[in-house]
Amino acid sequence: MSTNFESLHDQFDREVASVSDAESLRALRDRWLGRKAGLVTDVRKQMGAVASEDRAAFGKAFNALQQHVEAGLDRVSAEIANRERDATIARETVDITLPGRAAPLGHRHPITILRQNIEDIFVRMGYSVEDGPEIETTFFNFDALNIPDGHPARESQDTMYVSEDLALRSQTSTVQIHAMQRRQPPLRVIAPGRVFRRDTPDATHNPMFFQVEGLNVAEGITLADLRGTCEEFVRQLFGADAPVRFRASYFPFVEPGCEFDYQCFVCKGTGCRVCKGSGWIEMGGAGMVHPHVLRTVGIDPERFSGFAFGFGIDRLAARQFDLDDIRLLFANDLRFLEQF
Amino acid sequence: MRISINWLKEMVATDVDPRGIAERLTLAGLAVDTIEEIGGDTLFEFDITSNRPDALSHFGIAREVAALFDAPLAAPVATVEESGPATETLTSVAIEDAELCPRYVARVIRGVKIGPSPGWMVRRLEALGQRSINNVADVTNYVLLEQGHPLHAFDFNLLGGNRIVVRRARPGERIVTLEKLATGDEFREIELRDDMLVIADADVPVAIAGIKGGKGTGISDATVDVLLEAAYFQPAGVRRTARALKLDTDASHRFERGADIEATTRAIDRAAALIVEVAGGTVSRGVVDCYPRPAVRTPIPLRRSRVEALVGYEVTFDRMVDALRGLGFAVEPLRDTEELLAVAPSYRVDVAIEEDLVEEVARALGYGLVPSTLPPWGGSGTYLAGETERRAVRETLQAIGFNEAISLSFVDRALDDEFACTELDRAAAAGVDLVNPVLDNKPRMRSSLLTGLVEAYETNAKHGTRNVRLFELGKRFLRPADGERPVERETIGVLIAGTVDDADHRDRRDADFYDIKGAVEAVIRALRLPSFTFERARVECLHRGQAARIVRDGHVLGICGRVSPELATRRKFKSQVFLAELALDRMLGIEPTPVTYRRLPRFPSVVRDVSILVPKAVDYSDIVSGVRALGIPDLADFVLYDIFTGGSIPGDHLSMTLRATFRSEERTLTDDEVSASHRSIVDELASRFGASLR
Ligand SMILES: [Zn+2]
Repeated sequence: MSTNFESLHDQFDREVASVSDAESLRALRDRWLGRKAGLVTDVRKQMGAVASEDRAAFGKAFNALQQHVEAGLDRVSAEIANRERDATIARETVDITLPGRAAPLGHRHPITILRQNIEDIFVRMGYSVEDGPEIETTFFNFDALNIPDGHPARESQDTMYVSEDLALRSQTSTVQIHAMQRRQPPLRVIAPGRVFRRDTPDATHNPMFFQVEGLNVAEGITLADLRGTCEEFVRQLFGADAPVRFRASYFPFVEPGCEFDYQCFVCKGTGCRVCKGSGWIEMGGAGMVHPHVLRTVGIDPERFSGFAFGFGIDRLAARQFDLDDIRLLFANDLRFLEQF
Repeated sequence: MRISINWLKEMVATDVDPRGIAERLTLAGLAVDTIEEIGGDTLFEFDITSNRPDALSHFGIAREVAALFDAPLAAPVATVEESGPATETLTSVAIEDAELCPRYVARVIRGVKIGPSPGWMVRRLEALGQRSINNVADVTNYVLLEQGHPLHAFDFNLLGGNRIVVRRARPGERIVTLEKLATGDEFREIELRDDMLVIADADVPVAIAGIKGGKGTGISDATVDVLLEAAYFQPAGVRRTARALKLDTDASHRFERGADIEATTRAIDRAAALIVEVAGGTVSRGVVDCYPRPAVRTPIPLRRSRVEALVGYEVTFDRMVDALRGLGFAVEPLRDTEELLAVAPSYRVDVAIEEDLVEEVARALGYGLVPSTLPPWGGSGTYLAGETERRAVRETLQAIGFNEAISLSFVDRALDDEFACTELDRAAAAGVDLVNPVLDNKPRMRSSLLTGLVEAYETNAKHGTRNVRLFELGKRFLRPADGERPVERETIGVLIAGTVDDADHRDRRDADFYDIKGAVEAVIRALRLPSFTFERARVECLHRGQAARIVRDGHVLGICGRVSPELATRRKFKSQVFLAELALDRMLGIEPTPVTYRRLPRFPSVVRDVSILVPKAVDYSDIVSGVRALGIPDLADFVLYDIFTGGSIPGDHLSMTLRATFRSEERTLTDDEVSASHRSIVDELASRFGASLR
């Protein structure tokens, strides 16, 4: 009996070409390589019946057939595995442009962002953050700050009262007094917080706003120290140098008193839209602590001097974020809050 | 206050352009707000601080310009041609209250012809926003703008007894004045109090001193003879009366800040001369000058060392002396000690002490000379106590999707009362109301942070923003029952409404109680507060079945829950709203759990789930504590894994899967040990809570 290796090759090639999935592949493998009834196994069983002189040739042909079948099956197996992997990947493909999933982050209020910034800067500069009540006695809100009876600031037109001698603090300067009553100089204090004035709300006014008061009392403190401190603060807040200038002004609790401006970053002082052509941006009020104020809290003005300054966080925020209406700051509109 | 540069330049000679003048004045403390060029003139709009009444006129500004630019100053000249009888034979002035009126100067001009003012005067007045009335009234206004001293003109023949008595009003006395309202002029009858100073004739008040003249004795077309008044009234008295009567006039504005007592004669002479010029008539001889207590100005000492100690740069003694003299101070230099004595000019009512003089020197030299130095570093600063915790709360809430709100501290009273929570503040439940609120509908200092947050929810809903997650840190205000001073409590408010996981495109659901509870738990974790519990609570504004208080050591730290259906209906809420209010001040007073390390387990743990059906009335916390009470030694953890209602579950039951984790620190547990423990848990659940295994 002779074996037609050539036709077996052809038969295998035909059969393997029609394999489409893992199952038909397994059947094909069993049919050809099955240990009991595989076609290739059958051929090997014929080996014993081959004449000895033909045995070498038969063995060679058998090996070729076995390799051919195994290679064919492996090739198709790999093809099927690839196809299945591709199908899985196709199935598992996602639209990577859909939004990612995580609890949405909330936002700090713009006032808080600035307030924390300001606190960080002054703490680095050696200042302690302090606080005081928002409903103040007229002593702290006015008398101790050298604002005498009859001064316009005390009037009910400007200040909100809860009783004859209790008012909503109209400046955080009140904290100066608390701080100086608690401790003797040298002291460096900042006091950020809410203050209240009887202003009807409009695009540039709120009856409540946030102010930062600063106080530095020690031996030998001068206006020059005030200027240097303001400049250092502006440098740290905005990350760029800008000269600070003083304009003489009047606040009852300082003498000499001034307002302070920093030079416009946009135009470097030549005048532009941001600074309304003046080259300077108004920051706040300042001056040397009035001797009456020092004496009120038992500090000898001949031995100690001090500077104080105050500025509004709201106005800084309005400028920094280019707000067109500062009423938005306290309207709690999420369309606004989510921008910060 | 408006100033015309053309007029100014009649009094001070300077080549500096208006912008240069405006800038120098602004730096020296007389702030020019706006500059406007109109018809060949330049107008400055000033914002003059209340300490500088001396600068409320053209001459006042001219004085300052002259000092700052070292330019020659020309005071407005007045040559009064007097004739006829002596003024003191025509009238008399009696001051009954020299405290409130230290000086009163009067002149009489007879035979004037009342009519329109000449064109030049009308134009000048109108350019500065003053309406022309008649020639005599215009002169008093003109002199006010020129010199800053308020004058008043009476119809001399209508003054009873032709004389002036300066006295306090008598009980029940009234005066009729002319009010200039936007809607037109209106007469107003004013009832006077006996602490108010009036100018009276022999019988009745004819003017409210320093504030406003009466209707009966004013200048009219029929006026022939005029009595002119130039007086000085005590600032506090004028202020008190003006406030009480709600009057604010050009005269009261100046008198209450402090007029120049020595300017009275100069002003009255100028006005008399101008009246003759524009209305004819003759000025009687001499003035009646009733000045019972001439003002005394005390010299103020100033040390060079004091100047330098405050301004921080070197100032020579000569420059100090020159600066003050330039500003009109009489200076006596004491060269050996480098001190000086300075007497302020009568118009500088704001200068009283050495530091005021330091400011004058600094202003005159220019604040631009102040160098820039940093005070020596004094060591590190500190944050407000609790700031780390405040920041942790903010960051935590922000990380779970809350936006930070800041609300006005004043709120609607009725809404605030809705949130008055006796759970949080049993003793102090009353709100704090403002005497003079700025917003009529918000007269209450919030007693709850929820008031503002609920308003914010409503505002956002109105704008179509349905999903609201807000928190605020701030103070609320309460009036203790004993009527003591209001207390301020630092508080956290939280609000949730709408759906949760809104950013997720697969899954969203309506917020519920456990979202607000989760927010509260997050805050508590951020503050690392030890051993607190949630207890069912009755809170007026909250749903009776969805309200809890947070308790530690018997103290209530906060409340949370769903807004009550009644309140939600009343406020027309479009969705369920969940609120929490936490007493941050109390929380900051609690020692946080210290951070400690526990060794990682050395032996594996075994997890067994228990799925049970339990009646809804059973509280989860009771199940957990019941199982804990069994004291199973190797039960490392026992928590809720899953909860399910509806479907095949009976309506009054729910299905709960609880996960027990068993672990020993000594060895690997055997299957039998775990099974025995598991069984005792199941038995306990069945016997105590009527739970059945699923
Ligand atoms: Zn600019």
